[in-house]
Amino acid sequence: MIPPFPPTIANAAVKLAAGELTAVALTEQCLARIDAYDGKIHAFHKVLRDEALAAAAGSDARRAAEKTRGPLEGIPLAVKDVMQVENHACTANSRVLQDNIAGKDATVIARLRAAGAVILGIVDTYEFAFGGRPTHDALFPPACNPWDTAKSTGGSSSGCGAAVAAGLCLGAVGSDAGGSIRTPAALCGTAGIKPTIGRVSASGVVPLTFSLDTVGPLAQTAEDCALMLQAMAGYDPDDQLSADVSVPDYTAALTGGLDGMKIGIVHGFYRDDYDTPGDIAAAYDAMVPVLEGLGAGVFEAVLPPLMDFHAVGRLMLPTEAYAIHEEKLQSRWTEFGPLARNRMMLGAFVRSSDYLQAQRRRRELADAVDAVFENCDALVAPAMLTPAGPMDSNEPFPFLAAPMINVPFNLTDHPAVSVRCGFQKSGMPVGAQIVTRRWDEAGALRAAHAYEQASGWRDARADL
Amino acid sequence: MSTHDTKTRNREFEGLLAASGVPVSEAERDELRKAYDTLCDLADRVRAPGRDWTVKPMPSFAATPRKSEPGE
Repeated sequence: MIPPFPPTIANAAVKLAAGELTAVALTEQCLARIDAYDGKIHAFHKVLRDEALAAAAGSDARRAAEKTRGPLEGIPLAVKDVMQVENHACTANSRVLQDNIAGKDATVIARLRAAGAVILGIVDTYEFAFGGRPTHDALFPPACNPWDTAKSTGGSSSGCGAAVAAGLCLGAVGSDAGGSIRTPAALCGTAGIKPTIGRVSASGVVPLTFSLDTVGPLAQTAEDCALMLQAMAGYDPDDQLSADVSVPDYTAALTGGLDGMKIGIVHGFYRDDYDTPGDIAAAYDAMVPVLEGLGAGVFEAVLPPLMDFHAVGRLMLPTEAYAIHEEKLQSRWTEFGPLARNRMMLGAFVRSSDYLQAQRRRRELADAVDAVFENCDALVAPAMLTPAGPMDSNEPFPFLAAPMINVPFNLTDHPAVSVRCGFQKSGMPVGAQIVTRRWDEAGALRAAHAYEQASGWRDARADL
Repeated sequence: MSTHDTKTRNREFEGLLAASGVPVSEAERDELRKAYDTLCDLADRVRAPGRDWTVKPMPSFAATPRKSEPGE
């Protein structure tokens, strides 16, 4: 018999503390669901069965000795295959790195272990974390969307979105340079947060870019993301972009409503700048009365055209990825999957002046968003403009045509939470992003948590 | 970049490809050539005639740990 969908991290923590659940039982529950479902979901590159059960037993022993490490004690989590997990291959889903055995944990993984979390396994990523569409030509087959296995999860944190949505783990650690946490969160109907650059260490994480990479959690709810982010955040001298700033109490920040909060809806992104399908656009419109019912003042926020953000992102990402991988592209071209290598190859055609002009435009766009934030506390924007694409798409450059809806807040470096906000006519979920000022992850999580509770969308599960 | 005609674009593309030293296949070369036109359009879009030189690029790299922003 297949075990039921696991509880949220917050609920599991309560049950574990009350002695109604053990970490071993919770880990076995996830492992049994992986055995039952991952054959068709393909979320996991590697299941760390024995290590996870040993870690769970250790967690139960600490609890018995009254030496628990916090709310993540005994919680099974998955890790995107761009983060080093000690003694295991960190492949970035590329044949180029298939023998890249990690000598130590990435900082963020070490922090989660120190908080008592159980590392359950390593999950799928688009090759080298470059988004767009599933990479069938990489080292591992791509993860499928649990809501419809013929549809894409979005990426690049594809395995994170799939594993959380299928109830194969309670949370997952992803990365996001152009929407790679928020896109799979939206398409798979989970929560996820892209923090401010420097909030979470990227040491030990295979980079996609030098200047946009962030690391963050995906989980069933915003509250669970808050619990994970608490353990993940903090200064790390091993990461040159890490910020030496204090980390607030994210869970405490979830309390209270949205009374007096001013929230701008970025209506133009999905009504004017793109021909968004009606059922997806309607889900965003329907957020307004819910937020107003929570006490927020909602108004229409006007940002620069989405294509202006898209242009900057589409020049920056391939250029930086090409610079990172240039030597291997020259010498080991055939080992890369064709999709990933040609995406990176676009960077060879961007001149230095183009790149710097893009960075100057980025400055103007960030200033424009900052100006809007002078008069509001949060922005609500789409986290997707189209339904999940088919798994068998073979477009060479899918990202050049449609605007990237999640890249604006990578460029401006504002934290953004993806939250489920409804369903399409097809039954597939819709996700929105709630964006706040730099370093105010707590505000974004509070608004997302309040919205989740009031909207009632978060409890539906994929029918596997 | 897009002010150039197709012939010039082709020459630019071939030069940049050769300079990269990356051994792309003929089929990939064709797809990349099409994508190059889109990149040129995007490069035009990030430019602004008369943009003041006080508009400096966003900082991308930090030699020392970043400090908190005012108001945190």
